[in-house]
Amino acid sequence: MHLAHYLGLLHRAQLARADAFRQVADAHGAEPDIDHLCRQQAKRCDDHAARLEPFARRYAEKAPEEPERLHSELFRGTRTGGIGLLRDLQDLYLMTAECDICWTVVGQAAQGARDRDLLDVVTRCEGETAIQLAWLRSRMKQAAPQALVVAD
Amino acid sequence: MHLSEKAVDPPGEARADLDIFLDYARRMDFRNRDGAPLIDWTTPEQAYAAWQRCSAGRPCDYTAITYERLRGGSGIQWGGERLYTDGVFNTDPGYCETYGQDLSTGAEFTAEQYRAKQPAGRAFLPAADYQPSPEVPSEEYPLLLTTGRTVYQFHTRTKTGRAPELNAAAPDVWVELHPQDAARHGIAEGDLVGIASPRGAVEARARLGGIRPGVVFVPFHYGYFDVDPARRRPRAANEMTVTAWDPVSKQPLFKVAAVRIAKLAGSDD
Repeated sequence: MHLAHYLGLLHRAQLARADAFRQVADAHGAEPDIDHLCRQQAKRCDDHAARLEPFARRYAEKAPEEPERLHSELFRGTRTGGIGLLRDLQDLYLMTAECDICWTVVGQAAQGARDRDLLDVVTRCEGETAIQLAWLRSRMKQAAPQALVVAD
Repeated sequence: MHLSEKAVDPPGEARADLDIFLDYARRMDFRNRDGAPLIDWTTPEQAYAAWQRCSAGRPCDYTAITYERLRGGSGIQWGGERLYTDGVFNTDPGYCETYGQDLSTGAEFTAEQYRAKQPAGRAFLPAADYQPSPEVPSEEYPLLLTTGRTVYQFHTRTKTGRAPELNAAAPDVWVELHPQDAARHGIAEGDLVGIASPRGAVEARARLGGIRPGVVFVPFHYGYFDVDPARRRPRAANEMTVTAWDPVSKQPLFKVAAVRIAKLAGSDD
């Protein structure tokens, strides 16, 4: 059963995303809402990782060897300025979209494995991930005209 | 709703706010779809009439609230005695003013998401899980600061600070402390206290009273516009508050910050 690999992929993606949210908070703290909301979302990612961790451990016992090129790297550090913020939020959006589709995939596997406990975690976390995507979209829409049209 | 009519003409070279806005609109050369000036009115009553036309048929319809009615009594209660007596709220997707936002992040819901809830005039009561404020007391900053008002002053005192009776009633900043918190720091009534958050600090005389233990209160009215620069001491409460706001209401976080306190001087010094 390869479920462990997707749980591992999602777990590592959540931790990378928590770290990226914190880096963006540090880099764009002058934006009054970015610092607080990015740290809030970083905590949410940590929480998702913690909820996944016991399942990742349990399924790892039955897993064959990890397939090649399982993990992706979507974030290589923050940028500065208005367009930098927009681009950083876009990285966070893509990282969040990766987690979103992973939850969908893991949810299907949880149904197949008749794992109700895992399904409860998926249901909760995919809802919160959808909110994260919606927030990043809202915030990018807000930032885009100033960054792309007005700023020098 | 009230109608506040002009009491006096602006002194000297000062201009009424409306005249400044009209001048701004003229200089920006705002135009309507026919190419004519967007703003075709000049008096407050004409401005209000334009707003009435703007709001016609919308949830905030002002067309029935005329100058005549506003002048008739001591103001008009919005919506009459009670709103929504028929149990129908302004939530129809074709009529509502917003599709709503997630309360924790401000994420906007889309039209499709909103329609899927089938509002049909029902009211929404959104709930959110509890989350601590962005800044909570810590070992380094163990007290919770909240800021607020005194009845004698308004905002930054640009008006009330110039009314001698009001200003004399509350002439300078103070800090309210619970006697237990004060005793822990050797602070007595009238002592000069330093209050510091991670962002800034102020100095204020102590008032001990019935505030909740662990909480300190500083009024936000006091700034520097009427203080001789040579005699200036930090006293503006917002030196200490967090620069952030609620993601939906945009209410600034002026009511919660973490601070520490220390006695700077006695009440006679």
